[in-house]
Amino acid sequence: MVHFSVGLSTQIGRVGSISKWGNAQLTQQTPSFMVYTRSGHIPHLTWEVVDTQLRLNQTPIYQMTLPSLIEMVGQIAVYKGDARGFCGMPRDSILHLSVLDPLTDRKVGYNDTTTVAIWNHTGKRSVSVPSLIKWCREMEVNSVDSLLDYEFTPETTLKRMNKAVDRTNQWLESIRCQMEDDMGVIACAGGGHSGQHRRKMAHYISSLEGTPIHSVNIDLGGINMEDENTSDLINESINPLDENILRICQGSFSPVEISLLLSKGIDIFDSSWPIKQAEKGIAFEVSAEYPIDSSFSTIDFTLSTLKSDHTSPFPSCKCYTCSKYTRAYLTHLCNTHELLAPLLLVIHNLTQWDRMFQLARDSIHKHSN
Amino acid sequence: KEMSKFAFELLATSRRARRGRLTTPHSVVETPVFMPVGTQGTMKGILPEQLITMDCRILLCNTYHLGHRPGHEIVGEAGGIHKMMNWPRSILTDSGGFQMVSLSKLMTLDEEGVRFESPHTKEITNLPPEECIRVQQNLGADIMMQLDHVVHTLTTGPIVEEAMERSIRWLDRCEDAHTKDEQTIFPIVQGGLNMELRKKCAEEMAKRAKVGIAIGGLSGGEDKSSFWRVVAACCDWLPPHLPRYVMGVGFAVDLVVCSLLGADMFDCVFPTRTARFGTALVRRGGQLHLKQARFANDFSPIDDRCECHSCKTYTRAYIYSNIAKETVACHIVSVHNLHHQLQLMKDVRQSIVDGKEEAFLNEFLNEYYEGGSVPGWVHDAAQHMGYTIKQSRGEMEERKHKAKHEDVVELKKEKKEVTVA
Ligand SMILES: [Zn+2]
Ligand SMILES: [Zn+2]
Repeated sequence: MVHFSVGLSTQIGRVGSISKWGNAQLTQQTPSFMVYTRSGHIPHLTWEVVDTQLRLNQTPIYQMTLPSLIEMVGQIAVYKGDARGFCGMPRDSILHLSVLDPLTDRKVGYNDTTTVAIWNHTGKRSVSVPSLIKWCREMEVNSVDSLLDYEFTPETTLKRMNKAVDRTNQWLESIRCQMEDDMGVIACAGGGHSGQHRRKMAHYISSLEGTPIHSVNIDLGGINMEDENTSDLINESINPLDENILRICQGSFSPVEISLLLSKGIDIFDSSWPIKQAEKGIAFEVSAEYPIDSSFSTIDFTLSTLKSDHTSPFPSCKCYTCSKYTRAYLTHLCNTHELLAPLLLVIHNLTQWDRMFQLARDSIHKHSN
Repeated sequence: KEMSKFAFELLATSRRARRGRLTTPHSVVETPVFMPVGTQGTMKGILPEQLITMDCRILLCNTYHLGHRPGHEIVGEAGGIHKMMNWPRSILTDSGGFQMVSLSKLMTLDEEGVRFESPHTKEITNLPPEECIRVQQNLGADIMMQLDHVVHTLTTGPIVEEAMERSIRWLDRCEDAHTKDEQTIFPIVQGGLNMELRKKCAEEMAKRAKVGIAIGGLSGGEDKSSFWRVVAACCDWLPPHLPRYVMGVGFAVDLVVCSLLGADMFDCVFPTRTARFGTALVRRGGQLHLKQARFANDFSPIDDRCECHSCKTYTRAYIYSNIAKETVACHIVSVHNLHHQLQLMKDVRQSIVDGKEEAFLNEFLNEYYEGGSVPGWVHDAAQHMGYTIKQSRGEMEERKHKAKHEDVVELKKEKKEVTVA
């Protein structure tokens, strides 16, 4: 179960609040984001560093990515404890299991009638409904994505797309039947570039009997956010849904793309974009007028342009990295490929990402008056 | 001047071993001390705050690397290495001479100084002693090392004496170039494995030393018997008021034996470098190679007696699954390995204060060699110090020897990587 209610809806976006996430109590204001993790940690940060140096505004929901955990579920099953204990996470962490990793490319042509294909360092792995349910129990996550057949590309045949819709719907039905009632099952609304299929999937979700669906993952994999019909495609997924359904959009979106999605009424995102930037040596900062002004500035520390700049990366940022280190030092760390570079950039970028959502919530409140 | 900003106090001695306290402008350092190495001005993904949590008091940074990137002028502009890397406590920088010899293909040396070709830029750089100090003064470490004439440990013949004599002359030139009171220079005792040369050098260097002194030219592939004998002899000859820094020593058994022989400071890249390959340092058995499949379902911490954050948080199985995939695995092992070295030295210090080094030595060796026999050189060193070792004497324990050998090969590989990069 996910308890969510919408507060205000504006042109900029909507604010709402979450009071329960699966079987866990959680107070979180939306719009917000799930904290992206890989192998049970925020990339490059041990939990000691998170505990001592990362300050976020809200209690996080950790996005656990299945491709990075699938090789470990066997160990977690043998281990006397859950995924939190095994990965060294804080005991009371709230976990969402994402079937796909927003930073891993999808390859089409591998999903079949009973399984979805995911990829990690070992190659392709298949996920079926029974295995997904088993893993959720072993890891003791609070919520999970239902399985999505993501086989929707501009080249996919109509027949194949219809099949994808049918499979996804059936999988949702069987997950709902078999999963414990207090597990947050996030229905998946996909459909790729086909407005018709997007609408079909969303309609199915809103027509379900029994326990109502409380949250939907609107899948935008493979969709270019700059295309002019993207907005219409998103509407096809959103319009059939009840207003009080929580809308989640997982994926690596820039601040500009997030602002567009906010205006479509999306409530929850993830933090894969800031992690990806940090891994490329890039730090970013959004404008104080976000999301009205969705522009953002970046510093690429792999270039040597700032090697003698002894000022703070972003002087107004209060994060650990910006208060303790300089642009020159970060440039040095990037140039020497030191492990500290992505670590410090992840701390800054996540702090900035968190600030961005705070600005969005504040802005929506301000503009409703 | 500098003498008022540095101090070394002997708090306790027991036989040859010394428990001391070295004060620098940035911190108080409890000795015997292990100094972790942060080559590029960072400790392999460990935050300075984490090192402080472990009560680390002093780091070593490499002049050669920092001189290259970001460059000593930039570090100087940044306000010095402490400020640049956010480390408020003591730092020691080496002279860069050793790296020049090991990392540069083209290196020539004469009375004027060292001349080498940068493996990065192919530029030819001159490094006379004056320049070495100018660079280290820009870096701003509490302790600078003199430029010395490094010859390979196993070199013999007149060149060893020449190098030793030249190192003394270069120390004088270093001191003439030295202008900053908040920094001090440690001379380096050279002389290879020749005891006469070592003695002469120790006397000359000790005359000139202000705060502390180093014993150099070891850990270069010499046999263990020569290694401990040189350390022991130098410690005997050096006056007690100078802390003695044995360069490049980092294996646990070497740290323990050298501390008992009267050495006070050590450094080694080994704990963090080996972490990358999933090797954890432990008292029982020395090392755990966490990449081995036997750890896949081992849910115990690296060391169940260890108080470090990694051991309180993570299992061997989790590290096994992530090593070489996620940088976090490397951070987890590095935190443990650094904590292990610092804790070992803490235990050594306590044993000296309590006058119980003999019991400590036996307990340590029993665990390190897992109840098996102890190498002959450790027996010889112990006998020299008047300690009795209960475990049997093994000329060289096969398994351990092999493990150590692999580490050396690993380190050499790593060195090559650096050269290519
Ligand atoms: Zn910042
Ligand atoms: Zn530990």
